[in-house]
Amino acid sequence: MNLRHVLHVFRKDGLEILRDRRTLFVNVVLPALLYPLIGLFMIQVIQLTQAQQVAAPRVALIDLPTRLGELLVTTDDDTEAPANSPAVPTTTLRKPRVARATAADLPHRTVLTLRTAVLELHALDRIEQHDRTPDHNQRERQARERLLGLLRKDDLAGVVVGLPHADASVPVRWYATYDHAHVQGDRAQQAIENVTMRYRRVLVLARLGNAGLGAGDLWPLELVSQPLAPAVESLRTRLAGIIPLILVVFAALGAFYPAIDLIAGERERGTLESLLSWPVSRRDLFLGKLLVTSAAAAMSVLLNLASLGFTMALVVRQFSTTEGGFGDALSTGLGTFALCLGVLLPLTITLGALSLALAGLAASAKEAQNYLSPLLLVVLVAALVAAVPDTRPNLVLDLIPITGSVLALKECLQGHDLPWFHLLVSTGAALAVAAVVVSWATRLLEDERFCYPGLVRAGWGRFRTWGTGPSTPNGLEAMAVFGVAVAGMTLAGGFFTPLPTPLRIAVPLILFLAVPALLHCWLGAYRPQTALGLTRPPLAGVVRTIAAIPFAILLSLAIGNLQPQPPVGDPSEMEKLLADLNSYGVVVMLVCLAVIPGICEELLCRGTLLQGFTRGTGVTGGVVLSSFLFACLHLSPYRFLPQMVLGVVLALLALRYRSVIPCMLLHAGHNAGLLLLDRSGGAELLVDLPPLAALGIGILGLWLLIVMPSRRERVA
Amino acid sequence: MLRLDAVTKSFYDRGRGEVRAVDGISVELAGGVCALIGANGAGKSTLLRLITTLLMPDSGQVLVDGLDTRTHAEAIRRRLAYLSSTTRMYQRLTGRELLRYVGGFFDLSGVALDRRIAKVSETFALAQFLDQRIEGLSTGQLQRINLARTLLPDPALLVLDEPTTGLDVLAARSLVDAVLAARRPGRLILIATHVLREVEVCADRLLLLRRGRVVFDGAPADLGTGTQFETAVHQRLAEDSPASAATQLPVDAAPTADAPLDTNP
Repeated sequence: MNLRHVLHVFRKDGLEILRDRRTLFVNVVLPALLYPLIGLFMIQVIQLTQAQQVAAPRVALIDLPTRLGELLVTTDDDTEAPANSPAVPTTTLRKPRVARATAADLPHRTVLTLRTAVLELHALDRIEQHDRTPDHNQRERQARERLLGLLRKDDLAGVVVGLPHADASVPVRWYATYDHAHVQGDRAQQAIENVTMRYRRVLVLARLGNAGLGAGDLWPLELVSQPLAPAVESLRTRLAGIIPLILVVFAALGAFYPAIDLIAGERERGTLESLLSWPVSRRDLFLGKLLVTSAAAAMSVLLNLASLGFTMALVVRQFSTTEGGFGDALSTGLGTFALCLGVLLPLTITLGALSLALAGLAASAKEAQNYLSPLLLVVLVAALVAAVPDTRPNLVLDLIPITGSVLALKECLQGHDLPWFHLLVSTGAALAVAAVVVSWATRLLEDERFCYPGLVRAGWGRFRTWGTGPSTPNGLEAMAVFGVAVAGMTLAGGFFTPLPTPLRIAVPLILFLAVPALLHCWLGAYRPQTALGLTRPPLAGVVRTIAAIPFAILLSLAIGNLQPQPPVGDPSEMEKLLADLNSYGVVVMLVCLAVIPGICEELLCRGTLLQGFTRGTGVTGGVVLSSFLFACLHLSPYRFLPQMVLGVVLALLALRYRSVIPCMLLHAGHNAGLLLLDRSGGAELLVDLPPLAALGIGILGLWLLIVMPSRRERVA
Repeated sequence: MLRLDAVTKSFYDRGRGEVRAVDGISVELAGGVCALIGANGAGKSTLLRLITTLLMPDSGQVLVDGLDTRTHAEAIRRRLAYLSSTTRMYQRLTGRELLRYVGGFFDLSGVALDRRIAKVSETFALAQFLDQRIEGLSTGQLQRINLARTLLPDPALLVLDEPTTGLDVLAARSLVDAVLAARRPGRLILIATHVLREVEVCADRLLLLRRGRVVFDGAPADLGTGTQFETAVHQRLAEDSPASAATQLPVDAAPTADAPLDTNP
């Protein structure tokens, strides 16, 4: 990488972006002005609404005590509670919530009709389901319609009818009905319920007084709550699930326009051909553009955050009744601001790389927008995880880009301790994806068709009618083979259930992992040596691989101990299989769970997938993607991380010896070792070893044996 | 300077199947001005793009100063400058900013870059509009800026693909003058064109291309001068092509159906 060229591209493209009105508007003007304007607008609207004399809902009160009417016209504030009663939560509204609309305001005939209609409806409603006649529903509907008609005729939001009872020990029953389609229907219901509650309290206190008792006899316990945290902090915690989602969307949108302009725009404006004819490597070119895109996304996040924080502080200041001024709110917001920015910056690199690479596939800016819209959807889904209540970070979710970062941010916002480990893992995962995308995009830019999209690809494999094909498959083909393998394992795996356990394990592995890889190699007319890595490794490689097996086992065990353990419960499918296989003897078990998986999974993962992704996205991309899919293949969140790490080790091994055979050896040896340790109880011996120490020993051993070149290689 | 060894490049046309745009061309060029002439679809642009590393040969080798385009693309791009009729420039930059941007890739910076910019600015009389945004310049001014940025790094190999297309007579004439002025020992100027007058005026060597093959390689004077030269070129390009011969199509005819690509290779 030539840093000077990267910065050179960054300076020029940055200058161009700063001169692009559309990008400036979306990334700078819009975020800076949008939220304060929305906030000011909302404040104005709320203040105007508060100042307005809102007509109280009209409610017909029929056969109810006159005291109720008095309670209805008093405000919530000026209602004095009896001195000896405990505090009752009250609202802070300053105006009467409802005005009286008693039967006296309505003509006698209307009152009678309303009373009949209400009682009829409630009578119909009280009939039990099994006692209802076939025409019950129709009668009920007619009664409702009739009552609604009566209410609307007199502009009433509701009606309450009292049925007095001669016996004071039987509760008096009031029948209330509201027109919820009326603009004040809900308010009317709330007001009536509040008033009823108060009236009930007045009655209770009066009766207690008559019996010589006080309010404390009935309500012996009083809970008085006092909010402590500043309003802006409370708001932040409540919005912890939503804020990361919003910020990630800002970051994505902030990256989109520069990405479109810098890649698709370059092609559309006819400058791409000359740019590619200048002496700058495609990687430097992409990295320069990535810097601009990421900076624009970061700027967008920064401005959105500042604008949103300012607006929130403004709104809180306007409406908060608790102590703490605008300055407090703003300073609390600054801490959140810095935190969000720190978490989101690496994410802007990932989003920038993804946006640029996808925009690079498009022939025009419009086409690029079409490609980037699904990306926004993917980003949204990945970020939505944070909005799911009670979702906490864990090692598996950390590895999913965006999701891991968003969860870590949510954790911070909710006031938990800063989850450093999760932050590091999720940031690492996001940057690893960015590295893969950069590798892929570099390949994309090196392709002739990037400059000349009109060029038609040579035909494929045995179906090729012209041109010469590549020697190794590409990433898309690798994904297709993986798709066939997963579909076969999940959809057709059940067909083998009636077979004896060893066949039930071996046949799907051979049919759905090895056969698709071999068939793809044949159909694509690829040489097995290049497409699958089926070459003879050097003897030294074999020896080193065998020596690496114990370290691979140690690494898997250490990671297994470090990550969350599966819940204890019914034995898993794997445990049942193991129990079944035990009856066939250790040799059959090793063949089924070590040798055959070692061969079949390696053919697919280190053969087709690694070769394909390496050609499509470079070595980094090949290693990461093939390992990720290898881990996914095992369909268990608890086995994901150990398998992913094992996948990386196997991929490095395959790349080092340009052969898949050492990988088969290590894979089979690793599985066999774990099985034998499990059978003999040897794994428990390792429990005493601290997991981090085991991890360190495992990594060091594998590094020395697999990654570090031998003396002969160094000399060469 | 430039050597092509049995270079082949094919494209696929949905109507006609596989088309060999460059069909086993072998040629060695040392210096001077070399003109490429051929009908539309003859393979001129493809050949130039193979030389500039924008395309890679299906077979054969393209060597610039002994370096293979497949393995030393960036080093080769450092030795050449490319200008085609479809080349556009960054509209939001000024002429000076564009020249600085281009110069940066050729390891020019500071005083050396300023000196080079001053030199090309003087050569192409850019001073009046060098600090204006490119989006506001006229076609003639644009072409001068374009030429200036092509010659800024003082490349050993100058590749021009139909540079006068779309220019008026005066602008085209000044461009030809600029090409002539750019001649120097050790520099190879490759120019693909449809305008035979340009070839007669400035080319030392002429390559006639038909269907991806070189049908004539020699000095323009070997084919005569004036009308005789034009007739000879027409005849050679029309041989074995009854349709072309029958209609006596001039070589600078509008794009024809036999263009293998919509990207004008």
